[in-house]
Amino acid sequence: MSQKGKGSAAKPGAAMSQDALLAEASRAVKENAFAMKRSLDEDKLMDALKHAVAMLSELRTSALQPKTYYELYIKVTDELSHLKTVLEDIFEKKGPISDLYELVQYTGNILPRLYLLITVGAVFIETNRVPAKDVLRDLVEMCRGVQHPLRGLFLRNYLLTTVKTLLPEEQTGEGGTIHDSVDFVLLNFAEMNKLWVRMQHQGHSRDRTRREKERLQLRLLVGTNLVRLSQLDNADVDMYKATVLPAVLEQVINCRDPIAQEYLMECIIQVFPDDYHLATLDKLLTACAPLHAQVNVKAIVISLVERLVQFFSQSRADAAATAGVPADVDLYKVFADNIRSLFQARTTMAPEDAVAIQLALMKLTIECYPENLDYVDEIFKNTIDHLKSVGLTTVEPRTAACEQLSLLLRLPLETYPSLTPALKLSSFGNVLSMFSYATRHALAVFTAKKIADSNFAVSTEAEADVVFGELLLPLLGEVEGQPKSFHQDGSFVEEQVVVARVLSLVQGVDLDTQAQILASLKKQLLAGTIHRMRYCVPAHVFKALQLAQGYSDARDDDELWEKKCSKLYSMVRTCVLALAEGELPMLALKLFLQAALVTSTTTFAKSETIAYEFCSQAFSLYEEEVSDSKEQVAAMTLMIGTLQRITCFTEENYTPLITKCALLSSKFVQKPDQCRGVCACANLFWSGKLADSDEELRDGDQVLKCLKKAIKVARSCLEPSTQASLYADIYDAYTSFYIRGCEQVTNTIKEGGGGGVEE
Amino acid sequence: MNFFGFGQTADIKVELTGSETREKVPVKLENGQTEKQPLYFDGETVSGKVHIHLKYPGKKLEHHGIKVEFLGQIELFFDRGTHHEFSSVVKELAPPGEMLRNQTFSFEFKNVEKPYETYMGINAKLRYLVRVTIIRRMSNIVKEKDIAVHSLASYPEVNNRIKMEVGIEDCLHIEFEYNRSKYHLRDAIVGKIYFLLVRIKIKYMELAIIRRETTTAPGGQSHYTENQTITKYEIMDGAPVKGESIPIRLFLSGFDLTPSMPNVNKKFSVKYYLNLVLVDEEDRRYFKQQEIVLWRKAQTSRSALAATQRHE
Repeated sequence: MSQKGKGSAAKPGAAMSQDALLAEASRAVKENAFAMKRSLDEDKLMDALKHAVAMLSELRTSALQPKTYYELYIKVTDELSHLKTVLEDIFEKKGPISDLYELVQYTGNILPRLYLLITVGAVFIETNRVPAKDVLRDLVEMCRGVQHPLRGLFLRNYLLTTVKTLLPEEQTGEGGTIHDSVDFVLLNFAEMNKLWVRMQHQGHSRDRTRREKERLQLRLLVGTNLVRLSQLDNADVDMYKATVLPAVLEQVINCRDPIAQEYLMECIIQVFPDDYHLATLDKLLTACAPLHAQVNVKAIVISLVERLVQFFSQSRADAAATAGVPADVDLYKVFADNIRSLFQARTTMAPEDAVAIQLALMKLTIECYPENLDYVDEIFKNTIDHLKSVGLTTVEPRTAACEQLSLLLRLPLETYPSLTPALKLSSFGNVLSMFSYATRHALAVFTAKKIADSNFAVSTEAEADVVFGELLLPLLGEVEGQPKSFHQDGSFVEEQVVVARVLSLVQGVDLDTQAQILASLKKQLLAGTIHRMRYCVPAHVFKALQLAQGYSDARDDDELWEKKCSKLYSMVRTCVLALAEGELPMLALKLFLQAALVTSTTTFAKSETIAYEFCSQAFSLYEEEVSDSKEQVAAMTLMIGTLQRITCFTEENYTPLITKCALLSSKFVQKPDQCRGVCACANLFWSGKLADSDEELRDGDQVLKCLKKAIKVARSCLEPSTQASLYADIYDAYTSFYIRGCEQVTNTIKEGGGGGVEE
Repeated sequence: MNFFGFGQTADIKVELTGSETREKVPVKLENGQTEKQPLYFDGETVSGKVHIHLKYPGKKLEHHGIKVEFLGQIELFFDRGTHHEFSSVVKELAPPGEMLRNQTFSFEFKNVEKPYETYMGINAKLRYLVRVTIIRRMSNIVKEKDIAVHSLASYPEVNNRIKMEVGIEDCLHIEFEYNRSKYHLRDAIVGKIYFLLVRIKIKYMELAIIRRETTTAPGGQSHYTENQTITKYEIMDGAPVKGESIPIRLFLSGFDLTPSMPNVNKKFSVKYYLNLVLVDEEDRRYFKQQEIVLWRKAQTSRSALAATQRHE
């Protein structure tokens, strides 16, 4: 090959603005178009073609940027369509000009030549003069001559739009078949994509940003091919699977250009129908792995998944639609397998992107296979495995990965109306353990509220393990990274109240299960700090007592019920003592009393002993820990009330207790309290019941003793109004005992017990 | 007799047989104009009538005989005026005598040989003519009538494609392929350029048809060569990358081409070349010339021809 000559590369118009260039070119187009039309009017076709060539030559410019070039292109092709119309008219009326296809090819410059050739070719097809397939094939091949990206893209766009309605769509036919049309568009697409990608690599590297911007402006030109393919009537799913998609993907992968790959994948997903995607999921997903490292694969996969999710939820809503989740394809498996290999292939993928993909898959799985929890579980497992494989064992709070992972965890919880399915997920905890405290805590609160709001009852041990051992762990026990002052957090109480509600909802499938759940809960609760116990333990104690009652009610069915009950009571004792040690004497006291009360209703051999123990614990707490006078009064009132209701004591145990009450009441600091206290105690001596009799005690002497003591105290009261009110209270008591038939009291009244009142 | 303008003189008109129906082809004349001349082929009989019309009826025209010649001539630019006759047939129409009235003579050159094709080049011309001469003492009355001759060829027996890889090391490697080496004048050149290596920024690529006319001076010492670009045909716009294949299709019938003439009577030759030119962004030109042989094929129906070309 020989070489000669060296000239300077002239850049005409480099200094001119785009607008000025466009204006100049447009003027030339207008003039030539005018001349062309005049020649057409005068029936001078050859002259008209000459003017058309002159007009088209304006498109040969290299000075215009894509946007401006596009405007010029629109102007030119507008005029060209006039020529086309006239030619069609001539063909229609006078028959074809057989040489025309050859004639226009004498044009010296390739760009105007090909624009004309396309125009004429379309007229030939339209008038059925030649088989469409031959013309199409010829045109798309000849267009290879334009290798300049911008000019080539627009030329091929003209080709596509001009023959748009002329593509054969029949299965058979002399003019061509659907196969010819598919091949045609595919080839055009491939060539356009090559040109488009090539833009990236031409020119100075400093212009890269501008070039990428320009490329984005041009992407629609390439995408139009795919749109056309999707619109071909007879291009069915089989053809899509066998021909269209493989060809398109080949281009996408081989071009190794991030912009093109990202756009085209998105384009494929958006333009083709859902059932096509369903039939080719594997292919489409497999293609994601080899894409350029800069390609946002996450967005591609997610967009595909979301499209399918939307499709399924729509077809579900529309009951008439036959399309649904295909029975022959396991969508989850296809996705999961491909995602796995995708991760393997793309080691540089950010962890949050990986999780986001799993999140999308989760949505799909829940949409398509709501019954199949193994899938959900597997997604968790795969996610963890992947994160670990990239060296991520904990995700920092407020990172994108953390955000995505929380969403992933929440999704099944939010989705299922009942929590039962979600709790069967064995990998849930593994995911949780990835989080740092703050996130786990937030998730735990979320879950707790969800459980409480849905009135979900934890009913098996396994569930309990998941709920309390994993989900709510940050709210119940020590978790790494928990701040020391967690209990001073503004929402701490609120959270604990929710947890308490969850606890109170616990309802094992049977009594033994419930016992097991409670036993393991006990360990967990007592391991926590007192700040939490304060809220959780009462709930737990009440559950335990409830269970004991349950055992008692079903005593005929279970020989061992006594043993089980004592065990429960012993647990209750331990729990309440823990509270007491934690300087919550009042709370502990109340719980002991409650326990005693319940114990008394579950009569069995040891119930008296146990009830006594509870009561004595309450008394010792009272004596040792309750020092505030108001608290003392309140506590005593409770104790008196409790003792009055308890019926399991023998006299041996009962008398010391009620005597103690009276004694303690009389030792209140405030006189009025003492007065009212002993009045209340009086009731114990009268209406208290013993285990071995159905009768009330009716110990009139003691009653009177108490009342007298009350009067004595009232008398010593200095404040007249207080004294009056005390006397009124005492009078009430007297009256009440009188009504109940207490002789001693009756006598006293006669003796002028009301004297004080009179005073 | 007509010395002072009074003598008898005559107009000669040559009428070729079947001139109404015979195909006429345009032939470029020296003055730049084109004339339509009747078309003959080798071996075809050239016949017709010579009408001699006396200017002054009644006066006699003395002559030393009337003859008609069929001539094939070559004229070279540097030897103007000298007509090398490679073909000459003479027929006597009338013996010396006198003409008293208008007369018509028939003539016929039976199966006359026309070995070459009419050619109007830059330095060489080849023409055929029928010349009628009334021989007279003082000045002959001459009338010439040009005819065009096309020499037809049959399909070449060997017609290989032209395929060649060319390049500049580490810079540009291409492989070009033309579907034939011999094309008839209404043929289309179909081919492709395949880019094996591209390290230059190509602006465009074109294919030129070049006619090379070489004339040989008498004695064969000196040659004059004229290169004439018949057409420049852009076949690619923009810079290709490695692996691109650029199609070529160039219809020939629209151009002013003649068959290739390797050696016309040892006086001149006409050859054709395809010149593939690549121009880079600095306007450097890279080119490769390849001779092609053009031949004239007997004409068939035009549209059928076009159809076959399109599908080749």
